[in-house]
This record gives sequence, structure tokens and C-alpha cells, in this order.
Amino acid sequence: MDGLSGIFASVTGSEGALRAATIRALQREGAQIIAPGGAADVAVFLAPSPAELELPPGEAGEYVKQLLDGVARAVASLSPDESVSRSLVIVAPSIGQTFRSGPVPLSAAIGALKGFSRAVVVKHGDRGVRSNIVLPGILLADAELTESLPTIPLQRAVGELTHPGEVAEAVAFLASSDAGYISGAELDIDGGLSGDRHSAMSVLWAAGVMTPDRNPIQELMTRGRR
Amino acid sequence: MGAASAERFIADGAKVLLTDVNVTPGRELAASLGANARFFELNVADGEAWTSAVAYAEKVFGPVTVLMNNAGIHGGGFIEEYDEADWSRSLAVNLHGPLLGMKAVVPVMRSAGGGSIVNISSLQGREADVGLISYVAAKFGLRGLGKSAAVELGRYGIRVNTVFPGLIITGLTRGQSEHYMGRIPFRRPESPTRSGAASDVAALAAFLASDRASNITGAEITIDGGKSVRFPTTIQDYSAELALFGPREEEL
Repeated sequence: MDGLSGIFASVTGSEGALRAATIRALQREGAQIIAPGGAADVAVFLAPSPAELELPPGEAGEYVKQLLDGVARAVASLSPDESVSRSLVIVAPSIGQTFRSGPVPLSAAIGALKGFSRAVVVKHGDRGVRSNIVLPGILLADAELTESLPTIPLQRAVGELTHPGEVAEAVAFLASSDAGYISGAELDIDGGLSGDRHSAMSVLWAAGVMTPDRNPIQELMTRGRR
Repeated sequence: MGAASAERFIADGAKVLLTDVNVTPGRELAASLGANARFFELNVADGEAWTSAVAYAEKVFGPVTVLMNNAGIHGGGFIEEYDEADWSRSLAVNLHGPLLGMKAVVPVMRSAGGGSIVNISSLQGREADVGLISYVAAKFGLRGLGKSAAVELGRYGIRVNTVFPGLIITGLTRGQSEHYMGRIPFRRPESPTRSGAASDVAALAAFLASDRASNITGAEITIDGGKSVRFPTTIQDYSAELALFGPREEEL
């Protein structure tokens, strides 16, 4: 694939495994990585965790402000040349980080970044700027750092733990000309996590308690009627 | 959209069984795509025909590991002009068809250790539209079907994702595009943002089907150039449409 050949890309925000994987994927597709602030065709902003920014747990306001400042800098770093197609890809913080830093800052940040991505489409879309956001579920990089993950009991064939490389592939795809008509999209990468957990049935199904031959909910209801 | 996708999947190394109710164009297309394409006549609303199609694919190419549910027809209507035949036809093709397709491929995918299903809904499967009740209802239904299928089939390594295309110039929209959209350069002709091509949806489907998307399931991806995010806009933005069909801008 040469979906990004001749493209200058910057990757800002979070350091670490996700950044390394993202740079690898972009380079493999032919992109040249440039320093932050240069005129980029593709600007990738990887939202750092509150811990990475050394913010106290529960600090939502400062966290959201720092992320929005970071993504605004990424937008400002895009090439001013309106005759070429340019692309912003935001990677929202992994919800896996809730296990160590509390959900309020992360929920607020995910909402803010989604809104920011849409605003970029509204404001800059006519000048050829695409903007999309990738929403990882539980990044393996976080899981490894976390001492215990007591609330991830239900491992399924499609893994609930997302590898940094899987996020990187989606970033490279969204940045490429293959995704030239995709803008304003929100892409979950979470092994189905976000579509689940809303019902007792899906929890029982995921745990293997419920099967096509055995429906405990049905059994309970039948018993109740007797 | 199906033709562009078949072409893209073959370019990416897949073997493709094309299906359609229209036999002649389907055969011609398959022939033009070479040895990695075959055609099989299929009415997607016919469950037995699906079983035959999947068996045929397995015989000529091997087990099916990717299903793209792309067949679609427009269903018209206003609430007050509800037509039962039109409603049934739309739901049969746009909603029941994808369900029967998934039912037919799941056993094969389970035996193969996994697979990827890409369902093509529509922007009208996420947002309201007027005068298209049968289509909108079916496409919204497909969204829920896909999401539930992702949860149910995840344990077998089968991924299910839903794509929501905005206006794409295809056979289905050709009538509109000739009489309507083709005469309207998309909003701002100077813009590098363009209207959608079938190959755009094909590229997204190919990505979702590939191992690059191995952790993506239950996702819902809009592909519309950002247009749905930018709505609602001002009435002036619709001046071109209104000039074709309705009152002039100064009359509003």
C-alpha cells in the first residue's frame, strides 16, 4: 500500500507504545514524519492520559483544557495550502485508563474531543480538511501498566484488549486517500465493548453462561410464571 | 457499489462471489474481473438461495470469511401514503436480506475460525428523511441488527461492522443524480471536498474486512465527506436545490 506516499505527517500528544506504533504504520504507508509545528498534510493527535500529564486523579477541567490545546495546535500545524487534501486524526484517551484515574476526566475529554473533531469539519471542511476520531476501548498498553484489572472478566474471541498496533492501523487508514470521503466519523476500536454490557443477556452470553441451547433469562421468566 | 467493492477486494487479493437478482450484468461483471470472480444468482430475501450461494462459494473458492451485505433498494412513501407491498419489499431486501446472509455464512465462518461481515446501511439509517419511510426504517433496523450481531458473534471471532454512506453515485442513486444531484455541484464547487464514489465505500469495506481492522467490531462508520456533521446549515445552503424544485431564495 502507498496510501500516504509523499505525505508529511506529524504525531503529537501521548508518548510511548501508541506513538511508536502509529509512526511505524504511517511510515509503512509511505508517510514522512515531521516535527510538530511543521506544515503537515496529516496531523495525528494522541490524547495522553491524565497520569501522563501528571494531573491529579479526578482533575477534569485542566485535563480537558490541555487536550483541547494540544489538538488545536495539531490543527494549526496543518499545511495552509488549500489546494491539497489535509487530514486530522484524533485518538481519544483509552477508557481503560478509567481503571487508574477515575472516569470523570476521561468521559469529559472524550466528549470534548468528539465535539472538537466535528467543529473542525464544520469550520475547515470546505477548505479540504478532513477530521476523524478514533475511540479505543481498553488499550493493551494501559492494561500492562495497570496492576489489576478486576473488571475485565469476559475475554472473547474478538479481543476486548486493543493493541496499540490496531489503533495505529485505523489511524493510517483514516489519514490515507482510501478514506478521502470519510470525515466527521467516530470509529470505535474496542472489540465490541461499546456495543455491549447494557443487558444481563449480553453479559451472560459473553461469559458463556448463555448459549443458543440454553437461555437462563428465558428459564427465569418461565419459572416466574409458574 | 457492489461492482467497485468486488474490484477492490480482488485487487487486495480476495476471491469474490458476486450475487445479484440481475443475472446478465452480474455475469458480465464477474467475467470482466477475471478468474478470482464468479457470479451466482441470488435474491437476498431467499434464505435457501443464500445457503446455495455460500455452498457454491465454498466449492469454487473455499470457505467464506468475508460477507459484504450491499444489496439495497429504495423504499418510498409518506406515512399517509403507506403502501404495504412497498414496505414489505424494502424490508425484505434491505433488512431481512442481510440477516439471511449472516445466518448463511456464520456456520462457515465459525468453522474457519472467524470472519468479517460488513453491512451497508445508509445515512438514512442514522438520520431521518422525508418520503422514504420504508427505506429509513429498514436501514435503521440494519444498524441494530449489526450491533447485536457483533455482540453475539464476537465469541466466534466474527466481526460485524456497519457502514453509513451519504450520497454516493451508484445504480441506486443514478435517477437522483441525473435529475437532481448531478446538476448541483456539491454546495461549494471550489471546495476540494468532493462527492462520494462507490470506490470510497469499497475502500472502507476492504479495510474493515481485512486483518488491519482485527479489533474493530460493532463499529458504525459514517462515510459522507462530513456533510452530516455540517448539517443543519442555513436555508441559503439549499438554494441550488430550491432553485430546481421550489421557491426562489428571495421568496423565502
